[in-house]
Amino acid sequence: MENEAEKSPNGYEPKVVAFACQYCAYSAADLAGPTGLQYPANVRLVKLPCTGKLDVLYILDAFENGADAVFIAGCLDGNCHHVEGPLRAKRRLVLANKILNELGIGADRLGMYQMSGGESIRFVEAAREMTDRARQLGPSPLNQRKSAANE
Amino acid sequence: MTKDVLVRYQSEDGEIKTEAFDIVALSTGSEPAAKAADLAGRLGIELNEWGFCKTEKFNPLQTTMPGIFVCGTFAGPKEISETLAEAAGAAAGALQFLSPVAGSLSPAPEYPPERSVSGEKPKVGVFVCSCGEEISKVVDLDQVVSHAQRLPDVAYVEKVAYACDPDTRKQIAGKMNELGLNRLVMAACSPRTHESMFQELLRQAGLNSNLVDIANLRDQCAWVHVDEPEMATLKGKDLTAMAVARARLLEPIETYVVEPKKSVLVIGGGATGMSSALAIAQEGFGVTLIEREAELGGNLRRLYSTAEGADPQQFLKELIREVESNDRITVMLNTELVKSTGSAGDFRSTVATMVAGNGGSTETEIEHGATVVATGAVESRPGKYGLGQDDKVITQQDLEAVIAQHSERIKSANSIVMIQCVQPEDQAEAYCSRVCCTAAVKNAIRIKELSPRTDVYVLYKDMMTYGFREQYYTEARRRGVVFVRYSDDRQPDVRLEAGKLRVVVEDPILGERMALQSDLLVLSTSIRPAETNTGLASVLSLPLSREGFFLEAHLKMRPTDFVAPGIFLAGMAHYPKFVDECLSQAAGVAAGVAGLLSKDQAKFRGEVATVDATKCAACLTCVRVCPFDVPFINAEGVAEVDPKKCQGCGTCSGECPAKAIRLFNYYDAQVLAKTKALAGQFVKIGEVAAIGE
Ligand SMILES: Cc1cc2nc3c(=O)[nH]c(=O)nc-3n(C[C@H](O)[C@H](O)[C@H](O)COP(=O)(O)OP(=O)(O)OC[C@H]3O[C@@H](n4cnc5c(N)ncnc54)[C@H](O)[C@@H]3O)c2cc1C
Repeated sequence: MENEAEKSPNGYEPKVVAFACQYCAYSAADLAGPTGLQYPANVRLVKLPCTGKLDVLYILDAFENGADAVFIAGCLDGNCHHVEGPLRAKRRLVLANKILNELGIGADRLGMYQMSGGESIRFVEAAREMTDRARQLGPSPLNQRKSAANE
Repeated sequence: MTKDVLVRYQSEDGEIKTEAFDIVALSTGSEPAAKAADLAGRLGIELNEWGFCKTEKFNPLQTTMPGIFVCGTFAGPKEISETLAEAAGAAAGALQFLSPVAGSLSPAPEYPPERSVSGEKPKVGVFVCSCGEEISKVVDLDQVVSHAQRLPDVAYVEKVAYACDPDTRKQIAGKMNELGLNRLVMAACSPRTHESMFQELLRQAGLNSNLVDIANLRDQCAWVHVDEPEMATLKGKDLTAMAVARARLLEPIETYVVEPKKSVLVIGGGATGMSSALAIAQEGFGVTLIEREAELGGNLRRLYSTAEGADPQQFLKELIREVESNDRITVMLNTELVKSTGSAGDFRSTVATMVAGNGGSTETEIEHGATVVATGAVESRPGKYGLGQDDKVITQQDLEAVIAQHSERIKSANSIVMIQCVQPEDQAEAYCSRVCCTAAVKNAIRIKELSPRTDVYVLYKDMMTYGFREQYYTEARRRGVVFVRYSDDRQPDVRLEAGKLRVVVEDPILGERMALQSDLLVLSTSIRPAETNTGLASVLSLPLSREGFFLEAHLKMRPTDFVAPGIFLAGMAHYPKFVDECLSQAAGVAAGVAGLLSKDQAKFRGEVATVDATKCAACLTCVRVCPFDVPFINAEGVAEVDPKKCQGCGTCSGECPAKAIRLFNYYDAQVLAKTKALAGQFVKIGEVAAIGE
């Protein structure tokens, strides 16, 4: 597919999807620039109203559609605008991890980070860490299979 | 012959240099507008000796004529953000006289009737904004445009320079109309800051405000991938595709009308908190003022004089009396905020009050429509130059108290040395604390008034007595205060020798070392953010600057707002500043609060959960998990959510085992549209139900 070739100008460039709570992580990501920070362009954010809205389906769908790593970025425990969003998200991650392992994608491609709306540095660290991890792990097995099928 | 400008100047080491430049820009001073005197005469207001509007230190927006307020550079040279805070404050001043009729003449914006789009196939207009060059200097927008043109249901793509410009918005609305577009995608800045603007654009175009998605090409792409233009362009294309994918599936939203709570929580009982509480109470709203210390006043308690001559302790006494005697204000001392939920017009917070003696605390719940952050800042006490080890080494705030209460210590001193710009070792960011130069100059003059024979030396890096405060610097010099410059690489050296302080400094201009005997060494130390800021920022989900002060919504245009609606910022919590600057901001905040709460009804967008009764098994999961106890089992035996109470977090829809609950704007299909777009997959309209909705 034309898209695929276009997306790897210098070999393997991992694609990282972040599901970000609009109150904390989305704002922390926005503030990175104005506070003088940069992070890898591999990361694409999907805004959620709260990590309590996270669905395991979203994570699996991201991998299905080419993500090499996924992370959830939510508020700090005890500081969620909606009280316990991150706690619920963490519980759903347990299930997601299990499924990812069973599918052979591997739970290490999935991460969860917590931060307040002003902590752009934490968002940047999360973005760097997950991108680095995706680089180390290489393309997701789903993507390897797809490119093998294409050849 | 070149047309260069030759500039001859003397460098710091005394060398005369000549250099050629293409352009020389002169920073000239500002002076009152030519007709200022004229206008002042006609209004009957007095001017100060420089021809600017005359004001008082503790009433900075009031002219000499009651009922006439001043703001901006007519009251003295200043920059945009201060001008805007003052403008709002002056408006609040005027409102005091108008409160019975306020709002009655302000027309609601008029929009064309809303066109229904139900049954229409999506027709998406994509507008790609370069934000001047903020976006286009990193992201190749031509590529984004041609990528967008190939996306499904995209009927029109255009590049614009500033999507936020009112004329541009009008043109976009016109295009939407002309081409019968029914979905809008803005590839521009952050929805956090600009979504409401583009929602309004849709109302201008006669469409429901919800039919827009934003690709965050500036804050989350161009600004953070400066060195990766190629990758940033790929990402920009992806983000635009993701926005188009979701926009196709967006539905019109309903708005609900809710009465805002007519009361305000003010955090911090310093000059700023108290004076904003008073101004807000004057507008007719209730105020709960919480202060973590056992006393009101903050830094004002330690300020005994001002350069301008006004008496801060007298002002403080009156301020406290007025606050304590105002029926609309409840003061809670020894109190901090521990929790805050809800949104503009409808916040619910918990505060904890320390109980004296037993170390425990009691909690109180407060309902309020707006929140004001006025938590101030503190003078730091770094262990430098012997501070904390020798009682002859004190801070500028300590000196205030010595001058006011122990003047004999001043009179008996032969020599007093001040060191400016003393930053704690662990302070990561160097910044100017703004008030210390004037405070030092002021205290130097007081010393000379008390004891003309005492030598006063001020060791400085840069003297910044800005605006009219320059006159006090001149006066200090006239009274014989000696100013000696030091540089960062040659900081003063302080020794204790035979019970005496010896300060050695090297003047970079004269290149000479000076050794000064000193009976009292006064440090102007960095003013640091309140220690509790991190915790508070986290409870309120507010951003802090790198230095740890609260970060306003926009550095220039919105100095007293946060991006989160309904929360306001004023005073030294923002950064170090003078009392008069704090008071202007406090007044500005009162105007912001009035704007929010004086409307009898506030409109809330129905980004809420709804239950599909046919799928609900009444398992009570939603009733159990909702953090706000909103869902209930209705008379028909199925779960129901009251849209006016729902806070829109989606927890119930995330947990519902039967997938019977969906959250507006975050239907599974709408969220998944974004991840699918990453692989170039776009659902067919009409097949949405097939993926779980
Ligand atoms: C060394 C020094 C010299 C100065 N000299 C001058 C001068 O010469 N002229 C001049 O005009 N100005 C001067 N100032 C500035 C002046 O003191 C301030 O502008 C003013 O007092 C700030 O008022 P504020 O209410 O914003 O902050 P603060 O006075 O700091 O008050 C904030 C209040 O909030 C409380 N608080 C903090 N955190 C919390 C929390 N989490 N919960 C509840 N309460 C909280 C604090 O206890 C405090 O009472 C000087 C300041 C300093 C430090």
